[in-house]
Amino acid sequence: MGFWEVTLSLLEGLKQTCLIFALTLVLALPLGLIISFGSMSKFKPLAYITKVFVWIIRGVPLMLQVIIVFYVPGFIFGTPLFSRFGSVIAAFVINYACYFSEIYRGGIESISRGQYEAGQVLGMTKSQIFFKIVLMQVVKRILPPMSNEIITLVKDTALARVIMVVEIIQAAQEFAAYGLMWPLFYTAVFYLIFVGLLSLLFGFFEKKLGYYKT
Amino acid sequence: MNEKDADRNWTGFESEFAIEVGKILGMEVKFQEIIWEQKYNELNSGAIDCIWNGFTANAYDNGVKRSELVDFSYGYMLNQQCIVVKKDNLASYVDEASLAGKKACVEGGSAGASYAEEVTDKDKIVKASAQINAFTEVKSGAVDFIVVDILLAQNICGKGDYTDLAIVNAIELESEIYAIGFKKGSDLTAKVNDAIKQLEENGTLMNLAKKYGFENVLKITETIE
Repeated sequence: MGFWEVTLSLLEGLKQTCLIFALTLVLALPLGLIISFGSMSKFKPLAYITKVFVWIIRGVPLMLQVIIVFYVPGFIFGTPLFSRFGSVIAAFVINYACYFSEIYRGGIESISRGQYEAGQVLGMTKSQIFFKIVLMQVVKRILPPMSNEIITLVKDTALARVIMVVEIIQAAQEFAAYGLMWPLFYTAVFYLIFVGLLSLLFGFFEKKLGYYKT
Repeated sequence: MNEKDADRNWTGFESEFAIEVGKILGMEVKFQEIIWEQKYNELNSGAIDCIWNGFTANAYDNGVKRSELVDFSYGYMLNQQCIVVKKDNLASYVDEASLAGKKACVEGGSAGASYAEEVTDKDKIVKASAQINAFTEVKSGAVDFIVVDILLAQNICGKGDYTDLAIVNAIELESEIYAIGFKKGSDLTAKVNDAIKQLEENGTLMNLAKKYGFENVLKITETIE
């Protein structure tokens, strides 16, 4: 079992890791915004329901949520509702959307009233004010906490193996059957490169958005 | 006892056995690895249709007979659990009493787990998610001994990163019967039993066992007690 063979197999696992990461991000970012609107809603019952939902999702370990999404429909209907991979994506998207929603809420509520008033004075509509004035400033403010959460997501993908979705850690674990342990430690290199690239990207974005600083 | 070949397909006695049974029943066999502790959830949620890999039929899970949790096919193989320790410490393990108070690692939900609870303190037992992870535990010195399948241990001890591990021959554990587990009330059980009988009679099973070196442990038993 050579170095090259192990690397190829880990890259296969990394593909799955990347897929979980990308799909979760693409789906959870907009869903999080919708949930944040729910928890800030002036219609109180909706706000309460959303807050309880966020409490439940953030209060239960993601690992448990993955197990619940995969096994529980099977107990009820006799056959699983989603595939193993589908269950991972469903659980991850809901979980991350809830975390993102709180970051969005923090960002949106940090924008001062004056910004809204300025928009009104200029004769903008409510949605124009939100998308053209508020959201742009929110993006800038939430970038650091978002990058934190997104980096956590990279490593959380390892939880997919509780229902035997073969991501990179599981791919490495399979070499244990050949008496090899080093592939497991070798996966750290892939995570470090992945997170390193993301950190560079976020640093670049922060610089781009820092247009008021000279 | 199954592994993936160079093309990532499953090979091994049980994989080939399953494919042969599938041929008789006109079914395509799909292999799915599972987390062993989740085996009953996998089965009862319909995520898998049977448990077919070194599944000990005459064992208990948390004091409940396994045959009360799942329906078993005929037994097809005899196996034994064994104790694995570091080669350097081999001399200090002479009988069951020498395991008392020692730190152990077992596969969660395995036959070895129940044994470990008898011989050492419950709070000194670490449960791994797969037998294979137990070898890492004992090698790293995190635990003193592990309880694993003898066929697996023979395959691993002294190989690759595990040259410093050895089987304790002085301690012999009870023998076990391997069988295929189905969801309670599954109509597959009887069909698979018929297929096993056919494969036994036409010699296919013995040929497979010889191919993988299991001819001495292959044994079709109609009861699994």
